[in-house]
Amino acid sequence: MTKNNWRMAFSYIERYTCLIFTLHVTILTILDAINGADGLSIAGILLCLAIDFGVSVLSFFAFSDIVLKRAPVIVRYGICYLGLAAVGFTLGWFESVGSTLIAIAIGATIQLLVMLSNSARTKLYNAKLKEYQQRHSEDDAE
Amino acid sequence: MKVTLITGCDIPETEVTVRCRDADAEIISLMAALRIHEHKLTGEKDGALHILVPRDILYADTVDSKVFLYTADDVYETPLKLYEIEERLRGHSFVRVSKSQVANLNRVKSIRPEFNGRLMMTMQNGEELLASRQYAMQIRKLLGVD
Repeated sequence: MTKNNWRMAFSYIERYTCLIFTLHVTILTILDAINGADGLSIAGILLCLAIDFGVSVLSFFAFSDIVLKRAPVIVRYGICYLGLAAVGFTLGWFESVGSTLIAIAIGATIQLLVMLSNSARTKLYNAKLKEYQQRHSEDDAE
Repeated sequence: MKVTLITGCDIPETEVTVRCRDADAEIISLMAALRIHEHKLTGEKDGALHILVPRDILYADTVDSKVFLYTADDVYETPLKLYEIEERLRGHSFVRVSKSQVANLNRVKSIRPEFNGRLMMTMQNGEELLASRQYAMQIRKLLGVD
């Protein structure tokens, strides 16, 4: 796998983690409902799906920088994870507060790795920018 | 408008003189076009015309169909279109960062990659410009990142 492919893979994880995570909860809820595991009524399932869909869209937008354009990264991640935890816990997918926290910790670790990768990219960009400016300031002087 | 061209071997240096009753929009536009050939831009501020050199300009921005040039301390309105600024000043490290902005890469303080492939550029005066995905690719190529 080339360096660029790794970067692309990280970019996709970064972009779609919350969406995939929430869709996963949705699918499990549907399967539970079909199997009658938790005995939800049709209205209950529809309500859960509506909430789930809403949170999916919101977390996706939060990640997409559209709604919280200028918010710090920590705020965006905080909103996403709080939303996901609330939905997951309400739907009963997470059996206890402890397992909810473990699930969030796994997601947060992925995000931390992404943030570290982003920090390395920022250093690379700024090094290249300085090189570019040195080259072009010489041209301007000429 | 009367236009006269005088040529002669005895003229030591090319000189363009514009004589007019009032510096209206047409004259301002004409002056801006003339300045482009010496890689300088004309910007208007508080009713007065100013000559700007590219290295002093941090970025150009379009607001309500008007184009503004931003230096470290001031903002000037220019009659030029954004694409004209981009074309004329490309050799001076000016690059399109979004549909409405052209930035001077030599006056960028730092760059931070954002989500979805965008780039957040902090200018030397502390202002931030967000380069859209479409134009971020071009900036990456210029910097030699990819």
